[in-house]
Amino acid sequence: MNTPIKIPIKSSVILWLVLLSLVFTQSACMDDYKVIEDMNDTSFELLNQDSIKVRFPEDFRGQYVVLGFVYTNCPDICPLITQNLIKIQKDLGYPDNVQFLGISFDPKRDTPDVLHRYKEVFKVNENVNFLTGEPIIVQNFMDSVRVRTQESMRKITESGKEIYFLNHSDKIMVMNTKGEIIIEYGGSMPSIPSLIVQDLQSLIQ
Amino acid sequence: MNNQTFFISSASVRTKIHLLFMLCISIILTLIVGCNNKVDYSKSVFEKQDTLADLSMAGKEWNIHVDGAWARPTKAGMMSAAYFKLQNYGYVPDSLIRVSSDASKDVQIHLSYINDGIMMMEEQQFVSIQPNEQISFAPGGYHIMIIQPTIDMNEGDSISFLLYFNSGMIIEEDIHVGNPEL
Ligand SMILES: [Cu+2]
Repeated sequence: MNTPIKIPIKSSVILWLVLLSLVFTQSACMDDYKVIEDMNDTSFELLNQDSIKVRFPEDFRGQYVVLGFVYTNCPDICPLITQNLIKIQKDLGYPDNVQFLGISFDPKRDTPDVLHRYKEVFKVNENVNFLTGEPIIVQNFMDSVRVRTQESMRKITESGKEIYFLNHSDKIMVMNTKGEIIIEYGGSMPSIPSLIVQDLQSLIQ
Repeated sequence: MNNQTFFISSASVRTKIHLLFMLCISIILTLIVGCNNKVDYSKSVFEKQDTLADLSMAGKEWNIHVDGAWARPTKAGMMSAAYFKLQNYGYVPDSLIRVSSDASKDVQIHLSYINDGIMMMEEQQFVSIQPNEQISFAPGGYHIMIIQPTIDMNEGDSISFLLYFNSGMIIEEDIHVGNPEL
């Protein structure tokens, strides 16, 4: 779309840099999605809520995947992210070729059993899965998608339980059929589902 | 911007500087106008607004009400949160300082907020409410955190809560379990 810009001046390096950044800015705003992260570099072996091994991204090749990042000890924001995943699926009309993943960044506490209960609470269908795994693998996975977490408010409660929470990135991403992350949005905002539904509809068609 | 072609031929230094300036302006414009479909994080996720007190409710010095309360369904041992609107119809300010519940011994007043793309949560020692003020406890903002309830909280259940205020007043509220957002 960007017609070549014709500047017959060799010496003006700064001018070229400015022009390049202009072209870059333009293409970043255009409809054809650029690859944010190619997930094919590494394979991650994770577990779903039924303790079934899931290889990411290989197991999802040929399908679009909407990824949300959550932890189940999060009572306020993460349910919003999970609800957004559910809403996107519903608004798309429960398509067979779009998978939905809620990936926990708290694998120590979010065992498959815990995720199984979490899945039950949200009454989702079989195309929505929750993933966890070995802490080190999950950490590498989160690094590769640039989801940051940070422990907060560790304390003993009035009833003597030790609890802690996690500050975390708020993200929902879309991975295309080739294992490339191409869309990244804030995860918990109520405006997110309609944006992702629009994007996915234009991609699927 | 797409079909623009720039011709520069034996331009003086002044023309170059002028062109650079124009390009910078166009980049700034592109940044402002071109990418307006991005998420706006600047908006506060929790709303706090002043409303006029309903006259029929007025007339009492202390008059704080809880409206539209609900709690997120969950299973025993997991996490839940309760939400409502606090409205001060009275003439005196007060502060919510503690909440207790049948469902768990560990109930805390929390505030969620976003900071540089990171979702944070903090315990609040109190939440003040002025006369004529309404404070929303809503997802993404203030919430009553129910830590590891000892019972399942199923849709349709009702769970009793006590809201303690700094003035010594206590509101007893049965909160409906169910998610109005789903
Ligand atoms: Cu909380």
